[in-house]
Amino acid sequence: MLLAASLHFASCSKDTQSGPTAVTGEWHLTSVTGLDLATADVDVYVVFGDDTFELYQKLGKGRHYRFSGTYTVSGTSLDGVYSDGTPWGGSYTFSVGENGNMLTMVSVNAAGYEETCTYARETVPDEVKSEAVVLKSSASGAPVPFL
Amino acid sequence: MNRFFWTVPVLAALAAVAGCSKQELVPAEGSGTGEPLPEAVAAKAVNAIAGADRTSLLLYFDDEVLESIAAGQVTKTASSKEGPVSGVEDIDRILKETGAVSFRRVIPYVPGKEEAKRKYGLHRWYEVTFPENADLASAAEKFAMAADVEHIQFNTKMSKSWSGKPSPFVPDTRADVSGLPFNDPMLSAQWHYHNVGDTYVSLYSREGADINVKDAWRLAGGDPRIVVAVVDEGVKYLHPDLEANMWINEDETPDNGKDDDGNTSDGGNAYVDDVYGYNFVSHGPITWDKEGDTGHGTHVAGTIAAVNGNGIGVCGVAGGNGEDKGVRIMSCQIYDGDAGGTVSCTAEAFTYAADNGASVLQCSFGYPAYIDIPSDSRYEESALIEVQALKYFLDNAQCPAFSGGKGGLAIFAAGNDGASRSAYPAAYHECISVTSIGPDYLPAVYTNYGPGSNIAAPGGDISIGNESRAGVLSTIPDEVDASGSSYAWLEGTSMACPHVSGVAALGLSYALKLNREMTRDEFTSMLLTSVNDLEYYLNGTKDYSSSSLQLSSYRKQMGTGLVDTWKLLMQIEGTPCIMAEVGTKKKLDLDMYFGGSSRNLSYTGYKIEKDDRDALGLAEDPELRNGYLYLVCTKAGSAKITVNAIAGGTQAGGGDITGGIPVSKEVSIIARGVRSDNGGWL
Repeated sequence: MLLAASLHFASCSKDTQSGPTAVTGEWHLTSVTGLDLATADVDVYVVFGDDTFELYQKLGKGRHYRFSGTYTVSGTSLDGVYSDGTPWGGSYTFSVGENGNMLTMVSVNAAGYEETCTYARETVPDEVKSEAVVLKSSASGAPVPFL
Repeated sequence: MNRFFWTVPVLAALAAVAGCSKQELVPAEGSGTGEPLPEAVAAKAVNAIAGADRTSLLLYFDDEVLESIAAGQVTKTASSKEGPVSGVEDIDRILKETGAVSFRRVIPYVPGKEEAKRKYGLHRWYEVTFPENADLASAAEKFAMAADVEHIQFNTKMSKSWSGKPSPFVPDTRADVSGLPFNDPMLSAQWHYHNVGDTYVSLYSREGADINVKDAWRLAGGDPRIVVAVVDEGVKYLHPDLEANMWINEDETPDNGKDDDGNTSDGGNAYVDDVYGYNFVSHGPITWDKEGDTGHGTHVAGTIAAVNGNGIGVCGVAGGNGEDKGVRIMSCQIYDGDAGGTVSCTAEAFTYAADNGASVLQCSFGYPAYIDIPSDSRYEESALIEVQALKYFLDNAQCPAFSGGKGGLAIFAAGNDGASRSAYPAAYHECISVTSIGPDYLPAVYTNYGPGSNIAAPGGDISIGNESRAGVLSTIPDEVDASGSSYAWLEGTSMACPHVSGVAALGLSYALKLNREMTRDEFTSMLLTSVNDLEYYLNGTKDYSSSSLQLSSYRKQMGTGLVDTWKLLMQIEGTPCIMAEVGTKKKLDLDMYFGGSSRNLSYTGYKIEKDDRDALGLAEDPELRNGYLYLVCTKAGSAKITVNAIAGGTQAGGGDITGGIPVSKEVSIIARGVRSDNGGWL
């Protein structure tokens, strides 16, 4: 599957970049295969540091939630682990285009479903950062949010 | 062991006749002399005589005679030299024969509210009072013979099951508790708000055995538009840690002996000098320092709305943010020293609260669970006026956070009998019944649990504590404490209950802040699913010096879980979507929607519209199993599924069943190609 995804990107424009320096920065989700972001009320920002990431996501109603963790780049593959030890939901093949202003992340799940997410380079608004809350685990294993 | 739950010594006969038809509701004894009640009384009495106030009787009149009574009340003076009069010849004769000293409508006539009260039958109740040592059974027989009297209710008298003294707070040193947002010096000892699990409270303390309010205070402190009616002993409204958050009837001039507020066309709300609430026992000033008073009402009030950030004493759950005021307390006094506590007082308090702006009824009293009230329908039959008044409050209170500003919440303590079912009225399906835990995250030794229980909160468990610190710390009147302290520890479901009332009041305040309008049922569903899991801890035994609890007995019996303030505020903001993965059958955790104990709830089904089914490309029906939602999405998209569950127990209450409250949540689902186990987007 990954091979198929890689081949998919082999035909990308020649300004395609790869490697840690290409994904570093702040990104705002602009499209997802098959999903109307406005209807689903989805708003996601990703901040890639040198080897750490922060994720600010609002899925549906409510406020943004913040996740964090570490990531690795190997060629055009992007993988990561959340700070609670949970691995990302999938492995991504990525490319950066439009003069470094658009990030494309493609994943193929176990059922063979391919999803493409595109992100635009955009600073995370201060209000998103300030309102975001973190999820942590309680002693009983139930999620307990806290500021 | 201190057990501070007020109980009603109801009608011993009730236990024997529970579940029988009305014709079989013949009390075992009459006026305490051993003779059976006459058949005429049995035919009209909704309850039994034992445990009732011996000097009063409640009469429910045929609707057609009420006009004559009203006319009679206008043309004759109720306290004329001839004794009380009704304006109906037959009734006046009986009043005279029985030596009645007063005859009054229980729920006063208020022009603007009368039509609403008529829908519940509240206008049909009259209270007759008699001298001490009156023959109540004989009087009841005479009234029962009158054709115009449809029902008789003996005026059940509530009493305190425990009359001990609070344990005063003694200033001492405490390990620093970091991050507390207010400068109230005793906040660090209020483990029930923020439990760090240290030994100051108890050797058995567990971190997180609290209502998780610390961070919630950063979002909301309470809104004065939300009023909580404390139906209890009188609240000491002059307490320095409460005064700023007392409800005040601005239109009433204190102590002038007049009903001068402007709520009605005749210039009053039918109550005289009701500035901070009303004393429904003496119909005089609110009191808290008579022989027999314990400080219970003031303690309960402090848990809800002791002033936060004022540099003294304790904090309240919705006591303000340190700058702005919190929710307000209305004192609805139904106990007055050793007097009071009748159902007529309670019914009046409920309707007063509804008519004067309360959003929440805080009620730490009830019938002891060992008195067998086996079902909601039996409760409705035997506590007729109380139920009518309760329904009136629930429907006619004007909570500003509810859609159309209509409706209120009734929150009751589950009871302190250690019984495996909640006491009534708490167990009634329209009330929220609160069970109690200690600082060890475990059921308190005294708490009732089982059918009718809806949610748990910290009520303290002093037996496992370091000194009294495992109790709940709050305000008391210094007059009731020998050392003159204004703060004390108490324990009981009485103390757990105001935590839930406070959390509810804070949630309603936050809804106002966000302009988020919702129905009462929607809010109730949010409140009862804003919980943390208790089941995780219910293994083995909880040991006391002379006894132990088998914790497995409490599994799924304490309600939905331990109330969590933060989670309620998050639900009010809006619950995030759950992600599903296209092409793969996944079990989706419903914790976000149904709380930390979602896997232990009883689910009754779900509903999904065709458009939503199509949006996710569902090839087969979703499945609800063991608290998880299983589905297979064949395409990306978003949709909603309405999931129904029972909050507390396995079946909904109502009719012949003592049970839980149905809750309904709209679960939003996003199907896409990636799904991480912790809900993260990547």
